[in-house]
Amino acid sequence: MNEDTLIKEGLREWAEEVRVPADLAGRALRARRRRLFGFAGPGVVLVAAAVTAVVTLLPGASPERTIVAERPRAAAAPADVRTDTENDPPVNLIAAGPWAVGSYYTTRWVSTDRGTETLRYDWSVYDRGKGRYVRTPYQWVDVLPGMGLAAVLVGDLPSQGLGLVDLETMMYTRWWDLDEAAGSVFWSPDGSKLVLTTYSGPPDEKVSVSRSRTGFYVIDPAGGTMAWRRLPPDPDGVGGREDLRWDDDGVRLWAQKTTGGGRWLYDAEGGHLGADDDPRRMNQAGVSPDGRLRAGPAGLPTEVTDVETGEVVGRQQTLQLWAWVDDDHLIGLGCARACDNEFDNTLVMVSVDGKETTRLASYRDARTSWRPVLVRR
Amino acid sequence: MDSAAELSFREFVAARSPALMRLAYLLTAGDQHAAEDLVQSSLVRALGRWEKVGDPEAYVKRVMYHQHVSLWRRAWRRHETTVADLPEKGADDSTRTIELRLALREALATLTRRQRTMLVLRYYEDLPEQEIARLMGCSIGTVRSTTHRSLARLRSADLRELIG
Repeated sequence: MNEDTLIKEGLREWAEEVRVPADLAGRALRARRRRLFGFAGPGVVLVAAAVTAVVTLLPGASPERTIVAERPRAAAAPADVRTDTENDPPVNLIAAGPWAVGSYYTTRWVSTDRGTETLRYDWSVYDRGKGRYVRTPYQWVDVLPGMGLAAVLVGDLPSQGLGLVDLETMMYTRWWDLDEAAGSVFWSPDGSKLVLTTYSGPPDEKVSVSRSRTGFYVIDPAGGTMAWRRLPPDPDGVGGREDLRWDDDGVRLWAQKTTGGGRWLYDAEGGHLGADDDPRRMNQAGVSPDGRLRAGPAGLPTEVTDVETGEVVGRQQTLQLWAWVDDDHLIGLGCARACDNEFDNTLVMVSVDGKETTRLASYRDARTSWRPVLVRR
Repeated sequence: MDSAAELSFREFVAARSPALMRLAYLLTAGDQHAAEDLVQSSLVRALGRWEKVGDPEAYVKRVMYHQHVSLWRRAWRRHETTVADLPEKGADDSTRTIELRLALREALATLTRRQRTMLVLRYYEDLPEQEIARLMGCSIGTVRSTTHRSLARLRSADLRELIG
């Protein structure tokens, strides 16, 4: 072996011995943000917005995020209808009345270096600067009502970095390093606070690793406060997600009960306030803006009834009714063709009498494709 | 940096971090921690102008060479190469090859950063002298003389005898 070959091969073999850390990109990004923002960060003014949609997670370890829409409150929102039936997933804004698809996501199972599988999220948000949906690198996104700002968790979940992203410029306006790693983040109904649920390990990993909820942060970005409270998991829990969300009162926090339905309620200090049945049901628009009508539960057809008499005032060829657009129209989930496959569905706007249906987005397989998250625009 | 840029950065790092780490490992003479620090600090530098960089890998590598050679003031951990004691000579061919490689590692660890970087560029990255000169900001003559001195030093470190 000559000297050149010896050196070349020797170097190549030596180089192969290096260990490649898993999160080099995250480390570099965090280091840069620390350099840019320090701990205080530039100030940000949050505009309080009337929020009536709450993004929730189904009970247990299911990653599915679904919409629970309540009665819309008075707000000056655009009344137009925007559709994108050409692109799958959507590129152009999807909106009807006060509601818009602020973000959507897909999930896939990926292998970990521990020989297990975990969920990987691919989130897209509506970039107001570009005027279209753009894919993001974040593992969790919650868009602030008004669609001007999103809270994002960066890197693998549980994440040690929370950012606020300006949806006009897609730049960070705030950044927090988290000592306790978070698996979810949600805005409070008035957009003034955030709650982050922290976990001891990957919350979406398929069993075999020991991880559980450790507690939660409440962060007030405008007030500059941040507090972490210990909150052990539900005794009946199996070590999966037990995300905390804000109640409609913006004061209490709640988590879906692991078993038996209903929810646990807590104060912002983590004090246990007992349990109740979730006053809302999954995927129900609730009462119309004028208070006269009530959207019914999932079905095919769905029904809208008169609040006072209980009389059915209209039936719709939809699977679910998610939100009221105005007193006569709702956003729901409609399926393709004659509904021969209920998973082949998409968002539609439907009139109470069921006679008008406007498709808002392209049909997709609801089990595997993009999942919309509605937000007040 | 906007989220699209962050996404492209993450994708780049996911795809290229093995190659970057291997290079850093050699530049730091087999120091895992120093290699991670070198890659991270170079990536942080690259982040500052991510959207303007045409060839990210070339850019990050260039930053790595420069950081490694110029950051002499920084309190790097003193590199410790974990090489086994050399066995007695006169063994069979495969043992002999192992001896050679261990000797090479020890010898490389004794070079200055600049010398080692040039050898890595020449023998691991397989770059022509002209390109090395451009990257290191010196003349081709300097590349040649540095490489020459480095090789001489390697040879004096038992390598010549081993190559025999």
